[in-house]
Amino acid sequence: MTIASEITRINNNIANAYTACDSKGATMPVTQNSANLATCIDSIQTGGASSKYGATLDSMLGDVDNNGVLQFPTGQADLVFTGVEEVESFALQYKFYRCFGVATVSFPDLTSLNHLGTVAGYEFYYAFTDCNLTSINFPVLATVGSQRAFQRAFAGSTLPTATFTSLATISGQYAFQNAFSDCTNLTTLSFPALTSTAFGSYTNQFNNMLSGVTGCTVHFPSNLQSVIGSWSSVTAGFGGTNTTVLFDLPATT
Amino acid sequence: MQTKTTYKGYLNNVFGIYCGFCPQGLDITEQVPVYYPDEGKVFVKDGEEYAAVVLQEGESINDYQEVEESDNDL
Repeated sequence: MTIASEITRINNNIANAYTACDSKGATMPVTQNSANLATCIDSIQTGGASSKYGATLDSMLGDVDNNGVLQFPTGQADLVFTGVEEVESFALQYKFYRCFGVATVSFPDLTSLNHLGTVAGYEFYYAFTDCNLTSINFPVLATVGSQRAFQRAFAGSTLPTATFTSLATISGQYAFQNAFSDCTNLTTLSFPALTSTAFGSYTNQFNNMLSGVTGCTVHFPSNLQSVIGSWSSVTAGFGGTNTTVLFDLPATT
Repeated sequence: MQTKTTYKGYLNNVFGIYCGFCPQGLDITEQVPVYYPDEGKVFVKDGEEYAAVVLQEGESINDYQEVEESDNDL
């Protein structure tokens, strides 16, 4: 062992430590030397953001105020679940319930929710209820086969519009039950990709989806008129007041 | 409990369903009565809650129980 090789080893260790800090959302110093390492590590414990979701521990678990009171968590303003292609049953139920700080939610890679069985599904059950949502984004979500996958998921939020761009199949019973209930700002919902074989053997996927909502317009592909146009939940405006249902989107398969 | 009418039909060549109101110029193809519970209440049948009910063949509104809305929000 030489002095030079020992210095190289220590330098590598410091560099590795900074790499680990960065992955855990630490505040990275301009000069990454041994003198700044302790402060960098401490920034993880005092509000560093998760490299996966951009969320801080304080926002998720609640901060502790000057009087030692653990506060209700606010949630992170902008949640982006990059890389999440599936969600396990119950994984997000109530996870952000009444986290008033959550404003936008995006699952850019989520393709399906497809857990079948009597004790399965419920992936987003009450997940974002009563949040101050301004947008939700599920751009590649194609299949919802799970029961109650989105039940009350966005209820009571301030969401103004929502479009499920790629959603072709909703075969899980009660999948969107009460999903947007009491969203008093909601004016438009769109399901442009739903197909005529989207629903399997159930007709209750949209029960009460808009209860407590007034004046919302829901858009479907034109070919779905003959499929869901006579469903009770659709005829009843999804439980909302003065709901309009239009089959005005381009026909799908 | 109250009843409102849902109007189905074509407006500007687009088929639509209008719940509780009828837009001017709608070429009506069907009218359906829809039952709504009183404020703060829901209908319950077979353990499931309904914010509005369209009666199916052979059903009576008496098949649904009108109860206080459960406080699912904790």
